[in-house]
Amino acid sequence: MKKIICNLFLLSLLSLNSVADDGTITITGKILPSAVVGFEQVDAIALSSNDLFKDATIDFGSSELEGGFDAVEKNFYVKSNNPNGVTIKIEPNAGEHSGGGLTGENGEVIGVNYYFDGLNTYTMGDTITLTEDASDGSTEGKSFAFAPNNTSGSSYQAGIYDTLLNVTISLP
Amino acid sequence: MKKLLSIAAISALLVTGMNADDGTITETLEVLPSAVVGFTDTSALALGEDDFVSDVINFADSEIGDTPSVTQAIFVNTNVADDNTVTMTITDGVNLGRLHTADTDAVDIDMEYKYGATGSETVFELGDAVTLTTGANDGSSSVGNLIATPTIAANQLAGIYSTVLNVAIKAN
Repeated sequence: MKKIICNLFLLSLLSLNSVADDGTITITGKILPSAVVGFEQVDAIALSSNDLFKDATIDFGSSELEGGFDAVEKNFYVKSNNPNGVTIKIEPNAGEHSGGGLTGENGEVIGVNYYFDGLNTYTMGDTITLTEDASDGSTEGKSFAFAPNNTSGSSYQAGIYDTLLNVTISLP
Repeated sequence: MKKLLSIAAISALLVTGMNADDGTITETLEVLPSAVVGFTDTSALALGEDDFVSDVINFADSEIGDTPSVTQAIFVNTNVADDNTVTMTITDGVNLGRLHTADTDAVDIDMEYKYGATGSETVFELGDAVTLTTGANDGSSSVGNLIATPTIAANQLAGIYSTVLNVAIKAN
């Protein structure tokens, strides 16, 4: 009988030790999405808080009127940690031609047609999807083409024609 | 002869009875050591079973390139004797202390945990018993800091990451 009581006593001590609940620490954090996009590889560029399009210049070269200008096609490179992808919007800077045309010194405008991902017409201000997933920026993605209107047979004044486009990168 | 011995025996008993000291009642009890530990003042919490008051560490929103770190003061209310200690053992059998997200493309975020007096915190491994205090303490002021520091990779996928740590307190 004494032995049973002793054993019960020991069991009760063991129970006291094991009853204590562990507390918990819940740790949480949110990694914000970011992206950098360019017409060249961007894998070496660090992601940061500012979604970035790496400035680019499209030079159609020089041509006499009978020659016209060749279209320039570029591919987007996208580096992003956003699992929901990246979108882009291109629109004229304030004061520039609303359709993305090139303006000369005398105010004449040479129109430019824009194409996204092949022959899909792009209208200034459209938002288009570059990727639908995270991306490392080392491989070329969808294409974007700049195609000046044919100037053959026209009488455009000689000179430099240009425009400035703003690019907005967004993370859905 | 036998009679003599009997008389001697009775005499001995009587002498024994006459010489007996006053009786005594000895009362004993043992107050078991216990501790309650938390990130805020624990002086008002009743001691009983060893416990950690569950709490949350939130890194809020972090961007790629950030080096967030959270420091939590530790408060210990304990009745342990002068030479005894209160220890804390943190474990995480699920994520091993790393922050995890549900997206299967994502890599867990490595974490570093430190504990110590302000300015002299040192790294400890999960599963190690960290000594919080020696001797009794009233829990009204902090005894040290727990510092949690995530390592965010340069291409860390955006999203919400978390884990739950189990905290076992032992008052020795």
